[in-house]
Amino acid sequence: MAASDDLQALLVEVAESCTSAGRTDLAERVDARREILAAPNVCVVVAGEFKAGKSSLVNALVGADVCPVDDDIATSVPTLVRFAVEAGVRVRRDAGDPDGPHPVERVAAYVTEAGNPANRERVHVVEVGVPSALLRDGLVLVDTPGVGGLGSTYASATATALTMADAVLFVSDASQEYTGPELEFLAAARRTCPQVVPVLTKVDVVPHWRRVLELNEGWLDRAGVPGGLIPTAAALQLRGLHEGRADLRSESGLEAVVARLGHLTDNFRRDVSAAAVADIHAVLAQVVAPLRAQLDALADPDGLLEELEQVERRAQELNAEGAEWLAVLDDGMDDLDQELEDDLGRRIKAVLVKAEQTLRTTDPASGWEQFEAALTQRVSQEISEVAVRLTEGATEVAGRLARHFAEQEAVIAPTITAPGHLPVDGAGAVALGPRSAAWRGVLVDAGWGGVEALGVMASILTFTSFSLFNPFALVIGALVGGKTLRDSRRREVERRREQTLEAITRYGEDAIRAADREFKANTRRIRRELRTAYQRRAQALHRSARESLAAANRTLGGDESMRAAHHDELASGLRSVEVLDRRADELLAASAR
Amino acid sequence: MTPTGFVGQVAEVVASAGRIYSGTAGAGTVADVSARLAGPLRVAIAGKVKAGKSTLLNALIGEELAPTDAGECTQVPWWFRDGLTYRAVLTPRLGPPRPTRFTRTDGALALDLGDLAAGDLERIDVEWPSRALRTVTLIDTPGIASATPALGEATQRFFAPDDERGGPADAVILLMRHPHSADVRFLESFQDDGYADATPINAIGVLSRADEVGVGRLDAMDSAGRVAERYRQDPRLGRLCQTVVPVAGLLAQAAVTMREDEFRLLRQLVDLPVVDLEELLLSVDRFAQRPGPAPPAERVTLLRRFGIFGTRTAVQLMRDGRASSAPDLAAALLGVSRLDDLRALLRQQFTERSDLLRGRAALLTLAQLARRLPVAGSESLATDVERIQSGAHELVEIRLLNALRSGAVTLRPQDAAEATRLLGAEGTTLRARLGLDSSADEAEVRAAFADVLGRWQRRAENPLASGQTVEAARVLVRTCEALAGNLPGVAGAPAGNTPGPQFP
Repeated sequence: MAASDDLQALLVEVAESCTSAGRTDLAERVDARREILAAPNVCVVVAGEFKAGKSSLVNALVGADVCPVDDDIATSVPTLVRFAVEAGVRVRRDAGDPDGPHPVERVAAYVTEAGNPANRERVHVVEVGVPSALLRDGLVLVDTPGVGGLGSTYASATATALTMADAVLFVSDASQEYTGPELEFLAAARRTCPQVVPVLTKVDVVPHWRRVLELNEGWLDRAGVPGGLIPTAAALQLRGLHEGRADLRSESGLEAVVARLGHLTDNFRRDVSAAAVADIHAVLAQVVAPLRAQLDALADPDGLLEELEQVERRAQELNAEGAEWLAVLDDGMDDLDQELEDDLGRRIKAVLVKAEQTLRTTDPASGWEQFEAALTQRVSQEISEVAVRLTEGATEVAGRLARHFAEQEAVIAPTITAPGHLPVDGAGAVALGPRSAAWRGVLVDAGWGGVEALGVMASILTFTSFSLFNPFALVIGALVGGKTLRDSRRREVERRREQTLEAITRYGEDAIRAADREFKANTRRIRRELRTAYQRRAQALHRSARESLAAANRTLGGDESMRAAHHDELASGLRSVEVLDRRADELLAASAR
Repeated sequence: MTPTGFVGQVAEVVASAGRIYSGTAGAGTVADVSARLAGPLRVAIAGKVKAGKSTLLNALIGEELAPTDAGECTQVPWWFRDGLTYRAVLTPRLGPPRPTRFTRTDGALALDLGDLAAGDLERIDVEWPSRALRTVTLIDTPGIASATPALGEATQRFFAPDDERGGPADAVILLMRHPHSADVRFLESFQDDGYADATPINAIGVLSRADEVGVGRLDAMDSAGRVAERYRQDPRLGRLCQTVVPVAGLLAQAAVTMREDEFRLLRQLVDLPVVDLEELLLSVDRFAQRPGPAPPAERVTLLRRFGIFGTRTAVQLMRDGRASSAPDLAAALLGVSRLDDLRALLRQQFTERSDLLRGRAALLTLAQLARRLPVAGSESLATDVERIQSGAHELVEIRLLNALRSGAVTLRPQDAAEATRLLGAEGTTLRARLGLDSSADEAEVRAAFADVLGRWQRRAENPLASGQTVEAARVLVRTCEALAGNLPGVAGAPAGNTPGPQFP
């Protein structure tokens, strides 16, 4: 997009400007913003029923067999597919950094039931890097597990992932109209995710696919999901790529999907542009602060030094260990940690109580699998709901922090910080367009790169795998087995019941511990990222204030003739920066049209 | 055939029920039970909406009768019976049954409902002269909607599996379209909605629309076979049905009803240059719309009848020279669809056990009736029914077979295999129970028998064996004793003082 290229060019110039003024710290901030613009890491979750064709669709979109496809066994671990110059696989096992890269051929060893049964590798998320043109623009596709189908653990966990996603490709097979669970999922997706793109798969093998399309579009209308259902045939695309046939590729229908995805990155860039422009203003204001101080010293020195000293003191406070904004951050996150812990414990205990009640009236040896499945589903669902609360809570804290920090900055000196030009929402965070999730606004404001956002998204996706790597379930199953005689003695039934109750209690405790660990790891990470981002800004501010003061001092201490000569220099320096400011405003106005 | 045989006992108790309930509200139920015993085995085809029930039913009958579109009439159960003539009778919820006119449009029956709406109907009965229907009456059940029942409801049946209830059908074919085994709604796919109360003795699972497992590829049925094998091993299914077999229903239906003009069209396709033909087969749209032999409308019809898998398979068979005539092609396609495997299974598990299954269903219905509607004499009726249920060796065998399949009773693997075979899991003839085929001579049969009997007698008397094993062994010994009368070259009554069960 032309405007975005211009913006990128402008950001490069601004960064140079900072560097030549000796402000590498400000240049870094501008560079970080430029990176986000270049590779925004717009996350698109691919969701749908078991065997709907999600992995095939992802492969067809990126033009490579990165997600394993099999008639029988399915994907069991979420897979992030993003751009990389060299293909490779990274594996995330906890909230930390991924290990790898491994060769791409090894993907199946981590993400399928066959290669990694019952997730014995304890993998949370797998990241596949692939040199695909589609992804170069910053798109990240998330292939989700179909395990359990939409009526289960998977649904609630994926719903959690959707709160972090920028869009969802909702995939459904053309051989059947939307089922009840699919419609429920659609409704949930519409509530939590800014963009829902419905896709119909396998139209190459279903003779009556147009009828199903028609019926489904009716459902989509009623559900308030705009944009139309896109019919696709991944097999044709893959074959077309393999044999170099453009006609098959165009028959595959994937162009329409790519176009919709392209809009996403464009929209995101447009939203981020506003934040980029605000950054430009804020940074340039700091770059010229010493110049301005010197000009003011020449023109109107009375009271200037006191003013600048006060500004410097305030900036120092902001940068100090006891700064108020740090307390806002820490208190907010501490409270969140506590809230999540309490919520988690309460919810899981409630599930256990219900399970116990059911058990007291039945013999656990009969129909155990059904009971166990229902129990683990309920527990996973509760955990997912708390995870949603985590993202909401973190967004709130980050928003409060942003607002507080902005207030502090404004107090320090309007000339230095020059806020404005940006729409802010009630929480004081940059308010992006209606098409972006609130979470994005917070990240953008804090200056997070796509990398951090991806990291948190990956951590949240953890919860989709939760039910897959609990070994506790196996223990219970082994305990009761399927052994019972019809005329079992009452005593034996009682004993089995007690054993099962104990096992279930242990399971609940283990589940709470494991989930709590995950939550805390996530909040710790979020806390760290936020602190680092704002500390850098505070440091830069402080430096700007110090340099302004020093510059004013120098000027006031110099002699008359020097001052006069300086004036022109300073004025022209200021003007060249103003040019950059104006260009930024123009670009913003242009992109808004 | 002694009067105290299972069949005889059931007949007696039904007669006495008739006397007990004569003139009461239960009379109708007993009359129905009587009629059921006299008529052919009733087999229901159950499964979710769009599982392929009507298509499979048509394939089994050999004619396109049941409508396979999602029309309103598919929400009503259809009963298909053999008859002297072609008839359709509507039974409204309110009012007496009435015969009605019908036509066949595009194959399937289209009924004249008159002033009734489909929602007013309780059921539809069709009489159709058909060899397939002489030994079974087929019931096409309405699909179970895909709503998710509450945990309590769905699990009730599984917390009380021994609460046998019976239903309007004696046996059931459970259709499922490849649900994943970790799906919490997995077991929903196997509900028969109360039509026959599926257990391993009276239910067979079918992985329907099996070609879709492989997304229309030529090797789709191999994939489907592997999936079905996995389901067979799943203990949850073991409790519900005897086994799971894959069937490509649409292809089977097309094969048994194939028309000469369809063969001609396929012939035209096969005669095309290979490259052109492959281009046509790449997708359904291409097949229907690109220029080619025959008008697009005809090709569309062919595609709807055979499906993309069926079309690709037919073309492949003809190109390989394995089907040079319409009958040849039909036979070959039938083979690929695996319908014959299902037919063989139905014969072995249902038709050969017809007496047993009907008798069992009759007893369950009478027991329910006695519980629901107590009248003078109903208590002794209940006792009689219970006596037959617990005493009839055939039923004891069924229960043990169920228990072995579901894992409620466990034996060592090699013992379990022999035990289930002995109980009739692979056929009820003597040789089938001993695991011998027709090539074994009399001496071999006798030797095998003696071997098996001795083994289980020893187990029954082994003081170290578990209670389960001893009980199971005792049942198997009785089975052997009953079989003894059928041994080649042995005259006279069977050993032991139990009544001999009837084996063909």
